[in-house]
Amino acid sequence: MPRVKIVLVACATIVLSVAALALVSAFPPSQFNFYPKCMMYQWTGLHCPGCGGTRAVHELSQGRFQEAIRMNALVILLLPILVATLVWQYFAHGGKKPFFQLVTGPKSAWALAFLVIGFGVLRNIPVEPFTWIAPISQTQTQMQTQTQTGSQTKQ
Amino acid sequence: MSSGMPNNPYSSGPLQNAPMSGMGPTVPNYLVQSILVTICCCIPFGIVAIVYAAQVNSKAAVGDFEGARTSSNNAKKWCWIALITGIVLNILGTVVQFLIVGAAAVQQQGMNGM
Repeated sequence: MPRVKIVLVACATIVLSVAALALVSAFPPSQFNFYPKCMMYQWTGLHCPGCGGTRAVHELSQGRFQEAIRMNALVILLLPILVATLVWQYFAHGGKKPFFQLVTGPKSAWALAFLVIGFGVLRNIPVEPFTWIAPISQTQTQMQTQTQTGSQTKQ
Repeated sequence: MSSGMPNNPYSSGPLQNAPMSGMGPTVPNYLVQSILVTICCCIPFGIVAIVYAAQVNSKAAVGDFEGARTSSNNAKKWCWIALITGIVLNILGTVVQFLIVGAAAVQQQGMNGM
């Protein structure tokens, strides 16, 4: 791969990532609806493994780590590793050994596959321990803020 | 490797001539790409890509490089299907949303005029 192309791709990636992060940080996804919607949730009402991801990144950008995990644990914990792996795969040519290998064999490949699919299935079970990994819906957050303000006015 | 499928379109890739280095040719498994496309596009096709991607290492581990390449190609194909469907559905969804909002606004205006 020519060096110029590598530099161009790297610059474009960094600029786009920073721009996207700034956008998500400045405009809360729960208040602005110009963000791409999850088509699976729109049409079926089911949460996909990525649902709540944009809100999670917004929470993380505001330094609220716990709320970020609450919205989408998979995106916060796994996405950085996946992106790092992909970037490494792209730039490490010529048989260079990666410093960190996510998938080393069949077992880790299936483990990762089942982690993502299992996360997507489990968060749709509407029972207490599983609802913790489902994102909080907009109406729920609105109700929470309403009750919060309501209790504040009572006090 | 079986040579019983002369017309297999996947058997004549550039990886066929890759140097055998102890563990055989490396077949890209597209697992990371599959997961990213599933998370970002939320399309069940991404799950299909993940399953195909996970098959690649299993098949390569038992020496079935033919099968590993087939799974690899399938994973790649479903990644693209999921990505394109996701983008198209999202654009369609946005257009439909705008139409609904527009229709509601027009209706509101008509009611205000009465």
